[in-house]
Amino acid sequence: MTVAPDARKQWHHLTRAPIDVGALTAQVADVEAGAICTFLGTARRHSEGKEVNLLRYEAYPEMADRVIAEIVAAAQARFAGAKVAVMHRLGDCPLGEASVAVVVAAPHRGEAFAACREVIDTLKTKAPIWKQEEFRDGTAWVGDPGSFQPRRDA
Amino acid sequence: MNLRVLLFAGIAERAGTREWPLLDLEAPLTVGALVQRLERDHPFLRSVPYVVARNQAVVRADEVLSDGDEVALLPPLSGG
Repeated sequence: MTVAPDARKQWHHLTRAPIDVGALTAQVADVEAGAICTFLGTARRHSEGKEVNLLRYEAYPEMADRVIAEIVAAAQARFAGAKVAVMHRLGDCPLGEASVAVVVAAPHRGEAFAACREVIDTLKTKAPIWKQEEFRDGTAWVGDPGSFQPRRDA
Repeated sequence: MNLRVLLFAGIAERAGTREWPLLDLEAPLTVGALVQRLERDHPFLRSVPYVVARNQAVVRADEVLSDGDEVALLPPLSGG
């Protein structure tokens, strides 16, 4: 059996499949935890007034996986007793589906909420991941003005 | 000295490729000097915002590159 090169790579925090929130929650669930806080970033239909058909994510996977692991480790060090799981989706992400999930278990809800927010905020500024919006008339990379590509058949 | 320059998202799209292999570069070469050379050879880079990573960590322009380094041009991040 032949395996596509990409399929052999095992990432801890990146997936091309729909995110399994139950599996992430099971990774952090703990009888010492009194709270589990889950954040899901989901693909939204509207972006600055334009209607989006689909989001598509690309990463520098080796670096993104490592950066996310560092963010998880930093949050677990800063919030005593917190356990953190993160998964980011790559490839096509249909509207309404989760593009990223952060699940934090902690002894109390205060740390769970705070750690969850810190992890998603840091991930958005540090992880080398890019979002492309697909519109009816073309595609554009978010934050990269001038990257709009008209649809070939439009 | 040989380097790989990895391209992503809008930069890969504009370049029409995901990687520029650079062979037989003269050492020593700083990140800033490499960027100047890339912007001369690929003028579209001058109008695209990006930061440079070396071996998967963001670097400053005065850092000196080594043979075999993996350089990446990172356009504005938009994960999440």
